[in-house]
Amino acid sequence: MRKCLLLISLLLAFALPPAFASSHGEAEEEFDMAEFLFGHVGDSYDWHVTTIRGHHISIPLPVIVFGKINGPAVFMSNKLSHGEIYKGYFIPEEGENAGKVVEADAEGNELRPIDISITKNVFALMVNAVLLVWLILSCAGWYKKHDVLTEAPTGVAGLMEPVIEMIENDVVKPNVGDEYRRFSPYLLTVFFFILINNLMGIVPFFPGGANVTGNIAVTLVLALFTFAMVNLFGNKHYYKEVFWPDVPLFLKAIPIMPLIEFVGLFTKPFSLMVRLFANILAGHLMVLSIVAIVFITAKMGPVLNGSLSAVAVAFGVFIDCLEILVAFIQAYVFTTLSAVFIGMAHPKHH
Amino acid sequence: MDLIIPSSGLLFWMVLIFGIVFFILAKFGFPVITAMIGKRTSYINQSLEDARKAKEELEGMTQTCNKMLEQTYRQQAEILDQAQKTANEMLENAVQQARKESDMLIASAKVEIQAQKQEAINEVRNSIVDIALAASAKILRSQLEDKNLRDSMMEAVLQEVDNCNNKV
Repeated sequence: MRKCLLLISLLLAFALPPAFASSHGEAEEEFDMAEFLFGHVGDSYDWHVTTIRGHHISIPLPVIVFGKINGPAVFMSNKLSHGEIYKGYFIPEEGENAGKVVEADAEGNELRPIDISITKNVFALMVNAVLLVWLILSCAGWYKKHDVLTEAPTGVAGLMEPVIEMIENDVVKPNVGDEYRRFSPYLLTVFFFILINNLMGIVPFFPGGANVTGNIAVTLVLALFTFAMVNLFGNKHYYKEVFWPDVPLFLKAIPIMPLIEFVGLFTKPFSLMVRLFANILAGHLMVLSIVAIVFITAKMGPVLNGSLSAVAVAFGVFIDCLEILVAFIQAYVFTTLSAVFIGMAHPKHH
Repeated sequence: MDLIIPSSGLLFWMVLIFGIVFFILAKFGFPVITAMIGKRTSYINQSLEDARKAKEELEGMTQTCNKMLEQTYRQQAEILDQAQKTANEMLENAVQQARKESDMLIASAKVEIQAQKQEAINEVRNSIVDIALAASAKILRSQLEDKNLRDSMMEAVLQEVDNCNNKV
């Protein structure tokens, strides 16, 4: 086994570099690490699928903007490629709005229109959402068609049931408490939504690979939903503990404790937001950094490039496996903490 | 910096998409599944409970069965014992009876034999007497034909009678 690995890495050392040299050679410009990393984890107006011999293959996505000057416009993003101007909208390559659709006023200032384009992340969200809905509904369909008392679940139901049951029994029930039935659909939705987006983010090719849950806007919305679930359905004991907690009067007269408790309302979802965002983003950056080793060492000669590529591939596989684990753990943690916060908003009167 | 500033477009779409997904799944997805799983869970729990009860019942029945079996064995042994005893007694009685009867038979046979024997002896004795008489008559007749002898005998008898008279 060890000999085999050694042989493969040696073979790679001599076989790979010429291949890279021919495609990466003179025509390509200097490898830009920052652009490589942030281009992949960031959002964009089109979906870059691959590059073959310097020719970019990308899927154009619809741009939807409402500008003050040029009015509303809907068009495909390939109309704006290479700095072209379409209906007064363009994407500047430099400046504070670099990479974003803007319009120019009379003085030539760049103005951001209201921009609800179907970007790469939005598109990935839609794909993943459809996938998730299909998965869960076909699972529910199985239960409608089969007699649950005599048949063991098969197919999608067999895949989903243990996970659903685990979340319901081990996460929702113990943390939320008596009223868990009201909240379990939300918590299950959150879990599977995060899980499927995390997992699809690890898939390195279209339609996966979008950094959806590593985007702060996505995690912000998820955290806001949890915030709403916690605070809209909190009972009066919960609000009493927030605004008039059981502490000595002087801590309430100068409202130190209520203030702290009130701030606490927002730090909880904030921590949810940042935790998910940072974990998934870090995972993407790690995988990308390791893949980048291949390109960084391309000009360092065949031996170094080949051997480091082999190491990068091996380590990349390892990190990807780790990311699969993280994808699950982060979905689990987000759900668990949401359940805990919801449970805290339903204290029993004591 | 772009990474930590949420973009408004994505926020809008995320709220919309997540809202729709949440609505669909919370209405048509998870409640169906969890209700069915709950149904099965309670069914399985019920079945387990039933099985436990059935097992207990079975255990009770097995115990009763064993007890009955034991009792039966005991009774069987008793009956066999009793039968053995009765048989022995009957055998003993029969043997005694037989012995008694045979004794009686033997005794009566002996008496009979004795009687027969006596009779035979008597008969033999009678015939011997007859034979002796006949023989002696024949002898006497033949001897009395001889005169000398008859005289001597007469003499002898007379002598004898004389002797007897002398003695008296």
